[in-house]
Amino acid sequence: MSIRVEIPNTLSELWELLSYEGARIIAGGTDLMVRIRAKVEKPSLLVDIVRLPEFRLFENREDIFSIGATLTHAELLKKDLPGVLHDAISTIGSPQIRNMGTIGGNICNASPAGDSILPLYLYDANVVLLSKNGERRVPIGEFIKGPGKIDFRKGEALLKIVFTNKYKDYKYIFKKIGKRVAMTISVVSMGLIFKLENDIIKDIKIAYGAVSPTVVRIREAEEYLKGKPIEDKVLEEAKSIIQKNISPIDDIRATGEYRREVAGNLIFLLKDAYGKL
Amino acid sequence: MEYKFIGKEFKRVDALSKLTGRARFLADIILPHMYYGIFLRASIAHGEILDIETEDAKNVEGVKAIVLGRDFPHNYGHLIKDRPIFAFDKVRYYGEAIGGVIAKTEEAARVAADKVKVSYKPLPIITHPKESLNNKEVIIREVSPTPDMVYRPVKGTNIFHYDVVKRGDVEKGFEEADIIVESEFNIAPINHVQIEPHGAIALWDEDGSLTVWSSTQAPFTVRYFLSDIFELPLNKVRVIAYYVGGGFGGKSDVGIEPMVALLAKSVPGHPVKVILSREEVFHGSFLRGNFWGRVKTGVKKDGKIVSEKVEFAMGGGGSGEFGGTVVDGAFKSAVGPYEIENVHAVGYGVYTNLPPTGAFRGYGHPETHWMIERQRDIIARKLGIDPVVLRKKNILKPGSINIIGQKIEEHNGNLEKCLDLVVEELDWPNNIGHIDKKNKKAYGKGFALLQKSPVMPTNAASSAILKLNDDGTVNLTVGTQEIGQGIDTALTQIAAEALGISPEKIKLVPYRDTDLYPYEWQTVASRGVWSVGNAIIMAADEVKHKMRKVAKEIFSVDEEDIVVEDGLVFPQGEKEKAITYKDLAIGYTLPEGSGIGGPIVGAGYFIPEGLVYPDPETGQGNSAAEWTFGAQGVEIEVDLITGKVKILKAVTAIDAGTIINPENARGQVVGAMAMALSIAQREAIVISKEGKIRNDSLTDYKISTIRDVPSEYKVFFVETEEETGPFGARSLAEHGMVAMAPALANALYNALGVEFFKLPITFEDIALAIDEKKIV
Repeated sequence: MSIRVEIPNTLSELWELLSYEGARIIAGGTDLMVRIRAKVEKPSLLVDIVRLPEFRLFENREDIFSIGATLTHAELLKKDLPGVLHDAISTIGSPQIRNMGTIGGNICNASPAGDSILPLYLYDANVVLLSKNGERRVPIGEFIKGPGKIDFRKGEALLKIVFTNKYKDYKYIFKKIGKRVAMTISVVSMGLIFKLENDIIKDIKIAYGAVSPTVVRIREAEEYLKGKPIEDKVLEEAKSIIQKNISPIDDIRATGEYRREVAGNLIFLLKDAYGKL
Repeated sequence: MEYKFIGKEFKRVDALSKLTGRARFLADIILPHMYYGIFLRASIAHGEILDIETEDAKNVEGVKAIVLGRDFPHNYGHLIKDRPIFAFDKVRYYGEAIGGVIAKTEEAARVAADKVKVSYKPLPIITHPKESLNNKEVIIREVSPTPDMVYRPVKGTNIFHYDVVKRGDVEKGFEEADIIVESEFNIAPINHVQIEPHGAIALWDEDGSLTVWSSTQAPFTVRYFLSDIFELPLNKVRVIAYYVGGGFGGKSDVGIEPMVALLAKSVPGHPVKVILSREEVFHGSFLRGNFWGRVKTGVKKDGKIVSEKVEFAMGGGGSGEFGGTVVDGAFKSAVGPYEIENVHAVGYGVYTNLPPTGAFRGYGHPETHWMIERQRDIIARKLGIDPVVLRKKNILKPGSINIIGQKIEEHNGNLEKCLDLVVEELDWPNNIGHIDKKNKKAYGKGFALLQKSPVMPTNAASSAILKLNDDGTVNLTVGTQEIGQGIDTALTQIAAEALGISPEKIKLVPYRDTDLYPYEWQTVASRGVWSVGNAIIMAADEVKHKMRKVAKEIFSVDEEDIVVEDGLVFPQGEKEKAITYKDLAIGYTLPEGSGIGGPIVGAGYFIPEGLVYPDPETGQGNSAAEWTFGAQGVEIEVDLITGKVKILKAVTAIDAGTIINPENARGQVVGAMAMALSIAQREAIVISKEGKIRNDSLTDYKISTIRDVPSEYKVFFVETEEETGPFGARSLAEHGMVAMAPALANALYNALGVEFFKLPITFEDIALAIDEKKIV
C-alpha cells in the first residue's frame, strides 16, 4: 500500500528509475494523487521529475514556442503565451492547483476535458518525448489516443510541447462551461482562433473539449465557415455541423444531450466577438 | 428600547484564536497512548450480511482489535429504536458501517480494513421517497411499535413516522373554489459539506467511565445516547467538545460517537480516534433526504385561498430516528405563512436505501416552502393577479390562525412589512422579466415568503452560569456550542447588558464539557440566542440579587433600596457611596476586617413554557414556541447560450426581533442565502442504479465558490420585539435558507416562462428547457 517516491536530479538517475517495474512519472500530481486516493491507480514507485531543469525550459523564438513539460500552470500564466492558451490555463482549478499542476501532467492525464490541451490542437502542436535513446516528436492529436490513453513508451518522459504561432494576428475565444464559475471541470469547452477580412471569415480553427473521447478539431465546420460572414443563418448551420461531429456522453457532470446543445450554441460567441471588433 | 451593548457592533470573541489558528478543533487533539480507528463500510446498498472474514486483517502489524456489529447487536434511538451502532443483520445503504478496525496507526488500520471480506445476500433497493411510500414488497426495516415509541410507523410499509394537519373540510373547500391548482415537486438529497469532517475520540477508563471528545453541536445529547446505549449513569459519561468547523445540523444528530465508543471499549485505557474522510462524510454521516410532495389548492377568483391539501414524503435513509423530527418540523409549515380555512396535510418519513437523514439548516422548511412558494406564484399566474397581491390576501397577520391553531400576535413579527421591503428593493412589479434575444440573455426577478419556528421537544431547556471574579471580571459558562454562528459573541453581549458591565469584562469560556458546563439541550433550531439568552438574564438577576443581599448589610438599608447598575452597587440616591462588583465578588470585607457574603455565582435556566404535543389526528395545538417571519428575493441573469444563471442580487427582509449583533446577524442571513442558492443551483447527491453515491467527493459534488455567489446582498431587519425573547430577540440563523430556492425558480419563470418543479435547477436543466421552448 505504501508508495516509494524518488526525485531524480539528473537524467541518468531518471532513466534508471524509469526502468523499474511499476514506475510512474508524477509531474504535479493534481490528477494522479486523486486517482491514487480513489485506488484507480496503484503505482509502486513515483518518479517526480519537477526538479530536472531540462523539463522546465520555456522559449519563444520568432513565434516558435517550446514549453517545458513541468512548468506549472501558474508559471505559464506569467509567460507571454498566445491568448487562447493563456485563457484556457487560467480556468484550470484553483490557485493551489495551478501552483502544483503542470502542462505536461495535464497532457499526459489525457482527459477530454483537459483545459490546457485544447488550444494545443488549434496550433497543431507537437509533443516531444525524451528517453535515453533520444527524442521522439508526435503531433498532439496522435499522442492522445483516448480518455487517459497516450502514446507513451516505457522509459520515456514528456519533455516539452512545441508549436509555431502562425496565427499571431488572429482573434481568439476560449469558453469553458462547468458546473460553477471557478474550480470546476469542463462540461463543454470551446477554443477558436480566427481571422476576419471585410466582415468575412478568412480563416478559422475550432476545437472542442469534453464532447468526444479526446479534444477534437471540427474541420468540417472550419471549412464551412471560411469565406462566410458572421450571421445567424451561417452560425445555425455551423452549429449543426459541430453537433454532427461530436460524440458527447452522459457522465456524473452532465448529460450528452446538454453537452451537444451547449457545444452547438457556443459557436454563437463568434457574434459577440464580432460585435466587439 | 435603548440598550448599551445590544444592537451594537462588537468584535467576535473567537475571532483572534480562529484567525491565528490557535482555536482548537477535534483534529488537533492528540492524546497519550492513542490508537486510530477506521470503519468497515458496506459495499452494497441493501442486503443481508452473510459472513465477515477478518483473519487476514487481524494479522496486519499494528492492529489491536476488530469490532463488528454482530458483537453488539443493538438498535438505539429516543423516538424509534432503529439505529444500529454498526449494522449487524443487514446493511441498508452503501457505505453503512458494519464495524471497525483499531490499530496503532491510521495507515495500519486502513490496510487491515481493506483485507476484511464481507459476503452479502443482495436485496432490491429503493432510493426515492415516493417509490418507498407506495412500496409494500421491499421493506427496508421492520419496526414493531412499542408503547414508549414516539414515532408512528405503519406496519407492512416503509413509513416510520407521519404527521397530519386537519383544519376545516378540504373537500368542501375545493367545491367552493373558483379554480383548483395541482402541482408535484421533488428535491434531490444533499450533504452539508462542512469544512471540518465528523470525528470523535473515545476513552474508557479502568473504572468503567467513558470520555468522548467530539465535533458536535449537541454534547449533552451525545452524553444521553452514550449513557443509554452503554447503560452508564450520566455522570460517568463525559463529552468534551471543542470548536465545530461547520455544523449546519449535520453534527447535531448522534452518529459517530457511539461507533467510536464501541471501538474503544475493546481497548480500555487507550483513546481511539476516528476522523471521517470526505467520502465518508457523504455516505457515512447524515444527509438532507430527498423529498417528494404534491399540493392541491382551491382558490377564489379574487385570490383568496380557501382550501389546500398537501402530501409529502421525505426519504429517511436506512434509519429514521433523526429524520422523523424533520417531518415534525415541516408539517407545521406545510402551507407556509398563510391563513387557510381548510387544510389537510400529511407528511411521511420513509425508509430508503440511502444514508440516514438528519438535521439540515432549515429543518424541513426549505422543502415545504419550495412547494408552497412555487405554488403561490403559479396560482397568481393562473388568476392573472400579482403574486404580491395574492400573498397579501392570505398571509398571517396579528389575529390570524395558523395551521396548527395558534393565534398570531403582534409580537410574533410583521410579515407584511418584510414582503414590502423585499418587493420595494426589487422595484416590483417593474421589469420583472424579459428576454434579450440580441445579447442572448434573459432577466428575471422573483420572491418568496418564509416562516419558521424552532423545531424542538416541548421541554428543550437551556442554562447558564455567571461567576464573578475578584477583579470584577466575569466568567460565563453555557452548554450551547459555538459552531461558527457567533453564539459566544451574542451571549457575551447579552450577559454584558444584563449585568451592566462592558462585554470586555466577560469571558464566555470557550469549548464545552458536560462535566463542567451547565446543561443545554442542543445547538440547533436557531434557538440559542433566544433560549440561552433568557437563561443568562436569569443568572444575571441572581448575581444582582446576591450582591443586593450583601450590600443591604453594608449600607444598612432595605434590599429593594439597593441599586445595581453599570458595575456599581449603591443605596438609592447615594451614588457617591457606590462600591463596585469587584468589592463584592468573593465576599465583602468590612472595615474591621470581618467578611460577609461570599463568592458570587448566578445560575439561570430557561424552558419554553406552555408547549404541548400536537393532537395526533389533527396536528392542532400550541407546539411551536415562537415564529420568525421573512421574505426573500432575487434578481437573475440567464445566459441563453449555456443556461448559466448569475444571481445579480439576493435580498432578505426578516423580522428577527431585536438584533443583538448587527454584523453577525447579517452574516448569518447572507451565509444562509449563499448556501441555499448553492443547493438550489447545483447541489445533488447522484445515486447509481446500485444505490451507490456517485459523487462522494468535492470534485464531483460541487458547492458554490466565492465566484458563484450573488454579486450583491441586501438584508433588512424588521425589529418587532419578541415577548418571550431576551431583550426582544427571537430566532435567527437558518431562516435565510428557507425561501431562496422558490424565489430563484419564480425569477426563472419570469425570465424564461418555464416552470421548474424540482431542485436543483442546474444550468443543464435551464439550457435544455431553453432549447425545448425554442427561446433562443
